[in-house]
Amino acid sequence: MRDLFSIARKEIIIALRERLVVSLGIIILLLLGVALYAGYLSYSQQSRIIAEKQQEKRQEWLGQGDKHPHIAAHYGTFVFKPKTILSVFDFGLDTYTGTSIYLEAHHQHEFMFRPAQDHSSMIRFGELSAALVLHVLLPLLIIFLAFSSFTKEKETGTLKLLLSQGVSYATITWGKVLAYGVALVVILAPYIAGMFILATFSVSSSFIPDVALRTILLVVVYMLYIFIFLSLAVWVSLRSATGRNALLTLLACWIFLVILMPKTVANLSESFHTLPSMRAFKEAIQNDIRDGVDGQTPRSVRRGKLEKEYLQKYQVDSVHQLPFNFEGVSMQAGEEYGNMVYDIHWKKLRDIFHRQNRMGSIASIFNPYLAVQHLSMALSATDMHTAIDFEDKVETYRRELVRKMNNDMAQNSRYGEFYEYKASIDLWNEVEDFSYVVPSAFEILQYYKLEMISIVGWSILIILLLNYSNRKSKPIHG
Amino acid sequence: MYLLIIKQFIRSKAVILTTILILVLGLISIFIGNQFLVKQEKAIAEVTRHQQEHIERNVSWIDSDMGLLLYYLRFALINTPDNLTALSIGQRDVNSGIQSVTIRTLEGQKYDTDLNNPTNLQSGNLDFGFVIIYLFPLLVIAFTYDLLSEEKEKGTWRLVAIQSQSVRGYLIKKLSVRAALLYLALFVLFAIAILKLSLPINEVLMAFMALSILYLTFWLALSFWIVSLQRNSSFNLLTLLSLWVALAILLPASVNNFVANQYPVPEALSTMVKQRDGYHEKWDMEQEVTMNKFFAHYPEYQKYPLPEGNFSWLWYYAMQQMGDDESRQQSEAMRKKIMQRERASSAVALFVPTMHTQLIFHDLARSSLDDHLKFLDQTSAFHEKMRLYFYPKIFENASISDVDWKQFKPEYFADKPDINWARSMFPLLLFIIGFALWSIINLKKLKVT
Repeated sequence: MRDLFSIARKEIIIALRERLVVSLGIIILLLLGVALYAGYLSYSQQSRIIAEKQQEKRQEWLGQGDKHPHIAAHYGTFVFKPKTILSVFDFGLDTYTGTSIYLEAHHQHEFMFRPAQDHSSMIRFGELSAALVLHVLLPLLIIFLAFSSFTKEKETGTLKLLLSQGVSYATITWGKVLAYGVALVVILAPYIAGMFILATFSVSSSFIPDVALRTILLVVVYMLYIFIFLSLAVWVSLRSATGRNALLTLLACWIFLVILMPKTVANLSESFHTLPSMRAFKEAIQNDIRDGVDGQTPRSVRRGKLEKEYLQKYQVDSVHQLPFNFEGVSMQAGEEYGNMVYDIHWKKLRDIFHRQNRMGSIASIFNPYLAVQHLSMALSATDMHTAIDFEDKVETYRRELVRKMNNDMAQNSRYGEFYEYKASIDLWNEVEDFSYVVPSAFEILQYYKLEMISIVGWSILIILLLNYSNRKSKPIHG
Repeated sequence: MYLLIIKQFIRSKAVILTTILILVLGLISIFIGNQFLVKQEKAIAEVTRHQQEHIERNVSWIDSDMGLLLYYLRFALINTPDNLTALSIGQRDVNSGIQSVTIRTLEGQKYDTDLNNPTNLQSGNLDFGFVIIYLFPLLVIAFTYDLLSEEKEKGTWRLVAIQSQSVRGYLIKKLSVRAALLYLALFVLFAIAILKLSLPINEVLMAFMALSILYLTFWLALSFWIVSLQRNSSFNLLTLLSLWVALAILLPASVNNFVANQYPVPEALSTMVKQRDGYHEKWDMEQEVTMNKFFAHYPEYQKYPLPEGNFSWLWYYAMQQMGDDESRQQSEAMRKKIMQRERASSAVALFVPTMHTQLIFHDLARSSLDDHLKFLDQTSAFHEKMRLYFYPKIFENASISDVDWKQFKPEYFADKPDINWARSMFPLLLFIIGFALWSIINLKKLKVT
């Protein structure tokens, strides 16, 4: 044990002498600071705009004056996607998902204004987030730090010296891993501490209730990630004859895992599972609403059926004699039919999304970078599944809003009158303001089982590899 | 001498392997570009077919009410991609190249996007531009980082120094062999791209190729400069890779953050809201209020009397018009902000070769923001044209059968990229010359022992 610590201490001292390593460490520190600051700026900017607009919209909805409920349903309202406090850390997909949606009767509008649309094409280089610094740059620092951990000892002959004094390979290896681990944690400590403080004090953001838990999980995920890369680097160094070879191998791995593979997988998933164009998608929905899902029950037939049904039910001869406005009932029925058609097509589309993302999840088994990238977004609530959850809840809200308008029209107005009937603020008040709470971390992590298996699996694999090589390495080797 | 250097160079397994790797990735990128073109063509064919069917169907259903018919009819404007777009897809996936608009309020329609998986948008396209900008520099680094240090570390440097007249000349020869292989790989890929994507051989393509060559040369010069510092292999490799990370990932990403925070675009939301309000609140107002504003915009329509009653198409389309008229200010402010972002980015890019090359690639391939903004302007003009064509017909309730509906085929927009050779090439040239001269000076002090 004492050997382990003295080896670790020696490693740290040596690492501190390397100018390149120290300067890279400082650069990473600075970058993390800058990234978090920039993330915070855009978070507060966006949140302010969104909160303001949301408030404004609510006031407008309430203060729209007396009008026919159906006109109000078309007047509709807007919902804006809130930013989570954790998006300061990982921007995730926020740049590429729409930020606002217009809610109206009959139509499911799309989310509009993906922030990427307002940028020059340079945005495709990516943005500097703390997550990017951690999962792209930190492995590089680790490589720079550890590639020569064994090769240098071999080249200078100190390895033989150590071994001859009875220190085992295992002690040396773990001593080195410990040393670099400590060095990195020291570098990251201020930020980890910062995140904990953030996590415990910012419970104010009501729509992401489990910030503290998410933060802890984030720290765990990144710790494992650092451990995987660190051990990998030490292992490669142990197995390589020269420092140059170790460096080349590690850098090749980094380029493959971090740059090439993620992009290739995304592009391949796009080729294997092609999305329809927006036009084809909408056309299919329109066709089904027009002609019926079976292609044989057009709108007029459906309306006729509904009319007959109601006339029978209430034992009257014409819709004028019904005790409520049939127009409202019919409109709600049409709305529900449209929703049903929309759900069918939306599900098909979602399936393609899921199949595309599934390829990324499968690839993450072979690539801890992908696993951590996905988990990091998931925990920061900036991932695909949180976005989908948000869209679903907005759509539910829209349906509720429209239903209330149609019901009111059915209950309180007479058949055939449109401009005469006006609803008032009491009805507008019945529609609650939209409020969103993200799913809990555990709910979201359900979608990321493969990714979790991946990082745990890699951690175990790398421990086994190191132990195996420690036992196999001969003292005379090198 | 050359022969020996070439032999020694290509005997290395790593060299052959990495060259094959980049060729394969290049091929994949060309394939992905081709897929993009096929998808675009399919979409264009689809919209052409759809528009025809859609107009025919609606005209046959709604045979007497022009106002109602035009409520539904959509007319498409297509931003035709060049074949060159396949090499550098840029923002073409985020921004839709097809607009299909009704003559109602435009602002609510023109920012519609196509269906995309945000995960894939975030990863971006593995297009040929990516291969050139990210991967070729890595190959340059792999080929050249140990140009000099290798000889020193293997102990062959003294032999070389004794046998050749000029050690500097020897190094330059070594470099040129490596450069030749890189250029060759680049040309092979371009040749394949030209054949596979049937790229027209024109000035734009020449500019694209010239820029690629310069960009590659920039990395060769940078790499050679690091070599000329005469440090060991590991130092060279680490430094070059750090430079690569800085130029290809860190700097562009930081500039993006800076630009985004410096020029926020709250107007994007307010335009949306304003256009909706501009139209919707008119339902609750006296018809005259709307009509007065409408006639002030289009005095030529004053001759149409407002029909009696609760509703008329004249009033309805005047309300729709108000959506655009009253959000114009926000819309223009938004455009200005976006232009500011574009300008700020390209100004910074002059000093960062990776960003500069990427932006010029997108300009040439017409996949830039600038191109999309022009397309949006064209969309407004197109929309106005359709509006003005149909307004009188609606207000007079002209006979639907009198209109030749067959004439409404999708229209095309294709902007010619203007090539600014000086601005495109000069920054890179300057960097190349700078690093080359600096290297030569460094190598003057070349020590043999």
